[in-house]
Amino acid sequence: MSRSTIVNGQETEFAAERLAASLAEVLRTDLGLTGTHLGCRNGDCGACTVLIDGDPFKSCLVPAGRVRGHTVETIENLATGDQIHPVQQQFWDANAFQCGFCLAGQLLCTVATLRARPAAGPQDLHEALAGNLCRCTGYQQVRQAITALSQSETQAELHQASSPVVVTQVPTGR
Amino acid sequence: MAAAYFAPATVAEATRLLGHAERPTVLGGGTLTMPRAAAEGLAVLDLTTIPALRGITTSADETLIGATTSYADLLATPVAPPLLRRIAAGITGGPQIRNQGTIGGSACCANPASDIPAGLVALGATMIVASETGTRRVPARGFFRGPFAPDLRPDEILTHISVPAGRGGQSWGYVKLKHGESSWPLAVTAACISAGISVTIGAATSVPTTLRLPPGTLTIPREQLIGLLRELLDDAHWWSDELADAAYRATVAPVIAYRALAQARTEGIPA
Repeated sequence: MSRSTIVNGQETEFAAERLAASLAEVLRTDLGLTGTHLGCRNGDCGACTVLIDGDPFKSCLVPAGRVRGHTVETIENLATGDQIHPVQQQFWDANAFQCGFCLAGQLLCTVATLRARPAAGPQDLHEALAGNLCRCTGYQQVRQAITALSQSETQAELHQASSPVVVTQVPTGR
Repeated sequence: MAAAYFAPATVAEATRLLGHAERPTVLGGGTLTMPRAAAEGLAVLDLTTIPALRGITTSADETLIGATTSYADLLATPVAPPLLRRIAAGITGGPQIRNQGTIGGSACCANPASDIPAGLVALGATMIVASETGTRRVPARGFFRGPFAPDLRPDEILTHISVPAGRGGQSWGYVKLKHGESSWPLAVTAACISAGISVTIGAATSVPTTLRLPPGTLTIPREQLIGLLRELLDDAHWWSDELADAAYRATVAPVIAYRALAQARTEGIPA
């Protein structure tokens, strides 16, 4: 098994003594990727969601050692330079955030769903966010954003802009 | 010293590591076990690194489910038992938890307020556990001995769950009660109509409780049938937690059981 992990396209090796820690802790503390927020540390809130081989996981629940040989994508990977991702833009346009704490998780779940199913409808996107809590209760604006994202013209734009990390392996590690 | 991360490749390696001086916490998916392990800096033994423990195989007699098969795997496997697929689709916590949480891990945690124990008991499943000295087969109804107390010794891990092949003509219903998408269930009920009629209640009781109902049950009017279910559950050990006390669960469970029976009768769970 490969000892390294591709994090946002970069080959990364976690320190051996950190493999039993949660992936969220290692991303934040060891790699400085603090866009992954730690809320409940219990798998309830979804703020710490990252994509592992393209699928959303709550990174507070994943031991860091498990993602060796896999790809991890965090919120820091969505924008291209100064250009935010179309899903981020849509959330911005719909004011689909308030304090922003839960935002990374909401965005990554939405992005993962649209990459896997470009024709996802509003209900599909709604269900994709069932594991993400917003303490500011900004759900209506989130709903507006994902409804707009399920319109065809937005999807065409997404298709152009989406540049997922290349996935070469079947996800295991569950 | 930092906590160790053990990534066994085989069941034999895993069972040997159970005896390691660091006494590692065993992780299935880890959705229930990682919070404490991470908070307390415990050593962990990750079963998801054992390829042989993940996946679903079917034969004429049984469906064999590897202990680290995730809810998402169940949903992606059309030949998996329909009741388990229905349960998987409704697991709390969103797609992230369905991607990570495992049927075997849930069984081994044996949290009364969860879906899997009652589902496995309703299906007549058998739990296959391994230690360094061999394997053991435990019927699911005996495996859940009490709240958070599975029949699993410290030197054993669950490797597979065997679900007997469905006999033709079975119709299932599955209904659960929870008051929010992000809530643990307050009551889950799995009804089966075949040659006989049964309903298994979980989440409301300390361990899954199966009621065998007399023929003709389905023609009993609603209120009367709920009353009968209430009577049959009179000596049940009701579960109580921060979401609902025993009295509440005792009140709602017969109604939820009735709804599962009605669902099994009218629509059933599609295969």
